[in-house]
Amino acid sequence: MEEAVQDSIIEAVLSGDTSQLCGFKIMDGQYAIPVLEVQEVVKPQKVTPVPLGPEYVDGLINLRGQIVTAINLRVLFGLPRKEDSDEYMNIIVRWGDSLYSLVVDEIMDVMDIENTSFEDTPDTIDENLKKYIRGVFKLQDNLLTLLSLEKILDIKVEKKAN
Amino acid sequence: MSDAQQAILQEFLVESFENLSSINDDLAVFERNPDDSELLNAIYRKIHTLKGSASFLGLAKLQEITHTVESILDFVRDGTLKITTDIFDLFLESFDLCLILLKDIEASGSEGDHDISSLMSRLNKVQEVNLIAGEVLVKDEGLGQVDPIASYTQELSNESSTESITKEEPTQVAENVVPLPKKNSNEVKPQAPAQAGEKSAAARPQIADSIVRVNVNLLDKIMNVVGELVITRNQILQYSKVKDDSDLNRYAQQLNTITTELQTDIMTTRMQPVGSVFNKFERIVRDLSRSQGKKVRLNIVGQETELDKTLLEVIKDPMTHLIRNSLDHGLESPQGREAAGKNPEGLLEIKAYHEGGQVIIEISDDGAGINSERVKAKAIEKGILTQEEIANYTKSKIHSLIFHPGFSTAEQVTNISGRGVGMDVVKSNIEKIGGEVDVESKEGKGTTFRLKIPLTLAIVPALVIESGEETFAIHQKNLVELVMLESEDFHKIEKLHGREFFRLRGELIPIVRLNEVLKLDKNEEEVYFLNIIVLKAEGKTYGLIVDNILDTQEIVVKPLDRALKSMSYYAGSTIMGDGRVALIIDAFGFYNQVDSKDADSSADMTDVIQAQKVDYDSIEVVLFNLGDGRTYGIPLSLISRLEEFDPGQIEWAGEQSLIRYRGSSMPLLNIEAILSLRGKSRLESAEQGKLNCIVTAVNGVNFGFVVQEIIDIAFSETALETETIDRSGLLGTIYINDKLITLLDIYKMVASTEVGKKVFGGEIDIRLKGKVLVVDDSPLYRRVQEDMLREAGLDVIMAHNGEEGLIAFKQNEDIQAIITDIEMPMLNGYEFSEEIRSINKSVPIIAVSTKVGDKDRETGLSAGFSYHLEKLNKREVLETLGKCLS
Repeated sequence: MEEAVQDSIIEAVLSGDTSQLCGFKIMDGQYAIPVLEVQEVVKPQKVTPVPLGPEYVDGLINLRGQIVTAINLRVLFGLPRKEDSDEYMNIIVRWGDSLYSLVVDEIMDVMDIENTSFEDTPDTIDENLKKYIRGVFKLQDNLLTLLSLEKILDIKVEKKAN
Repeated sequence: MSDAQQAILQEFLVESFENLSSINDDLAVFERNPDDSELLNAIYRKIHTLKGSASFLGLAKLQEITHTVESILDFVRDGTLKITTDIFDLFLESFDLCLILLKDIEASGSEGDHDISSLMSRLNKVQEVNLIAGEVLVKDEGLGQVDPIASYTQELSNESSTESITKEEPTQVAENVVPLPKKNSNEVKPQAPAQAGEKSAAARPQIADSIVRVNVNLLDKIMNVVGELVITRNQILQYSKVKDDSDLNRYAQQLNTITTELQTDIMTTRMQPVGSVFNKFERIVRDLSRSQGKKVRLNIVGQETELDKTLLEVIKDPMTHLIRNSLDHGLESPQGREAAGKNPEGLLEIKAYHEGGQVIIEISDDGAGINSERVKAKAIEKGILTQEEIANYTKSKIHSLIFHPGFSTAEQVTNISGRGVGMDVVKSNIEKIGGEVDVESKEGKGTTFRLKIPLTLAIVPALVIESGEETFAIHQKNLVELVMLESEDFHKIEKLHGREFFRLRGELIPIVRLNEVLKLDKNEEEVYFLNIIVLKAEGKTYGLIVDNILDTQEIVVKPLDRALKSMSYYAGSTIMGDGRVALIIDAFGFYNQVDSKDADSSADMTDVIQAQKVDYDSIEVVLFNLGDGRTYGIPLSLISRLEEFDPGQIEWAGEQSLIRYRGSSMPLLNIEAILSLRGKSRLESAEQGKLNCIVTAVNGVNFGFVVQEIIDIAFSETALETETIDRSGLLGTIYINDKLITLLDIYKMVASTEVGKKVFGGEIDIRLKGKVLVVDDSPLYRRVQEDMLREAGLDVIMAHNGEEGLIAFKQNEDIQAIITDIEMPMLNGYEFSEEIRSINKSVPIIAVSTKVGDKDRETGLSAGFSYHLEKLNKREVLETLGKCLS
């Protein structure tokens, strides 16, 4: 039930006039998720790796007594890992009963963006990325890719099943 | 009253006092805002709760009042009744009376004998009028004319002066105030209620004061804050060590102690023994069995098992449903049970225990079991599965269909189960908290539901270890022992088929290296010792080699997220004292993963072990000495009797010595001669005294093996090694108490003698052709049977247990007959046969067991056995096979 509610956050945001988004950078791409889905943003933490776990799982973090699974979006999107591995940010999100950290390069500001600039996933987008995104905001100078938490966090279960 | 009931009652009282006082407050507010439907609903809900609990506890008066009030409120909610001041008064009076009743219950455990008829008649009037007219004119009914308080007081005094005297008090009066004349008892009486009143007034604050209700969310929050405190404490401790300031050190130590205490206390606040929920079932079972006319004995085991409060709340309803289900569908009526040859009193068992990092709750009954055919039919009828799909389903898979949404086999929907809340809801509720449900059922025997509940916040003792720079925890209950091997003993880890094994006191256990399995960084430095953690999980023992063993600790198990949870290597994660996260290794899942990986490669670990190891707890051996002074053994199961004979009774027929035994002559065998051992047999020696003789029956003929001395009966501890035998007539060697024992093959020995050849007679003549599957968990019998069948010319496929047998059968379509043992792990002979029959109706299944009773035969036939023979009757087995294969 909780997931259904969460799922609807992104749709509710898109159904309004403007979307309030938390933006972040991965390599030279700009991405965002609705700010309502973000619990907090934290600096790099001590990570406990999960041996034999999926490659995109960097490991587990202790966030004030709660276990957070860190998902490296670079790896998930099929991009190379960051060289200076200390320079990254954790975006903490709750999905179902679990907490996750989306490991990204850099956090941008919270942005209010007109929904008129939104477009459903264009066909031309990279296949590796396509399965994780909800759509794209066409900004003046660049594109802002809206990620779907549901797709990112559920795909793992599917993958595992294979 | 039992403690359990007392506890329920206390809980009820706490809740009801609370509810009543808030109802009173709510009513007052509602009177001012009669349009506030939310508030009305709130009041309604509270009354409903009160009514529910009252009826559950059998408090008739409370139930009656609250029920009627609830009905009246129903009209108010519908809008058919407009609430008036009079009705308000009536309500308030009702709740006051409820309060008085509750106080009595608190003081004496019963409702007392208050007369509620006056109140009820007025309440009923309101209700009836509404029922009839659908709309009411309360005033006209003259309700308002009665002063409720006055009438109530009147009722009270009436009652105390008349009714109660005749009912309860006389005993008390008689006991305490015997000499008082009857007349005076009227004066004594009125004091009693007053005393009771005082007592309850004094008692009530006790409950209210000693218990504070705290929201679990708040506890969660506190827990998290404490977690942060722990981390800060650790930092301060570390800093204080660097600083070397004695004052700082002292304060840091104090902080340390206090924090630890606080942490433990907070964690314990969330844990509750499952008994607090289980005890409620006693009443449910009692009432349900009564109303259904069934006799049920409830057995509760493991009430002290602790589970997180939140989880307890969640499992309560699913468990209630399963219990109702067992009572309704599972257990038969006493007549039905008697007809089925069972104890007319059914058994319902609720069991809780820790296993594999989870709390397991089993609800089992010895009832009728699940009717697979009906489940099948239903599944097809409901379109859940097609006929073809279901044909491949095993029994257990069919049983699990009952958890499918929209599935209910109850032919009749009773008011106990089948009210739309199906098994699917049970399943989804349990799965929601990360648990599992499964069902195991045997038709006619009963059903067991097994709930696996994650520990979540459960605190478990764990061994903390380090490997490849990472810290891991292992549940202590899986820990058997720790072994440290020094470098000169490294050779004790042996390699077999590319796998490593370690001989632990004679038992061969597989060795797994944590660094290798988890692909952790290897310690490049030369190691001078190895740490082996011997673990046991669900019957499997193995050794885990880790870099360092750190400590044992109480850890809080935190579940992994959904994706990682499916990695069965880990049971969860935990936060260590220094704030770092450590993974908890699931001893069972870990081994299974390693094992299944090996199964892919050429060497199957289980196979290697099984080839090396006799099920040492299954073979009992009779030990004896022979002429050469060595100790030999014969499996006890092959022996009929141990006898002593007088040498003077021995008769000779040519070279063969015979003795009269049970009405016929029994050949006595000279083991030393047969095996060409050194030393002389007692048969040949001139020694005086009785002859010790081991009597066995081979093909129905008794043979006596003459031995020097019978020493002992012992369990074999180690693998049967067959490489060591140097002559026919020996089975192999085993270790017992660190002594090497040679096991004798009595069949070969008998067969090698002249008299034996006669007994086996035409045995050699039975030549058979075809492929036979042999399922037996004992390597010894497997070997005996394999030899026998191969000698007869058959192609033999061996399987170690029912499960393997099933796989082998599916893989080899040309199997013409199956020979199976009965007592086996995993899937026993009956279950195995049932499974086979569900896919193949015609293949002959020959069950062999050491002894066959009529009852066994019956069970066997219903499980699908074609024949049920004695295990060691070679001729019979071969002849039966001959019949099957021709």
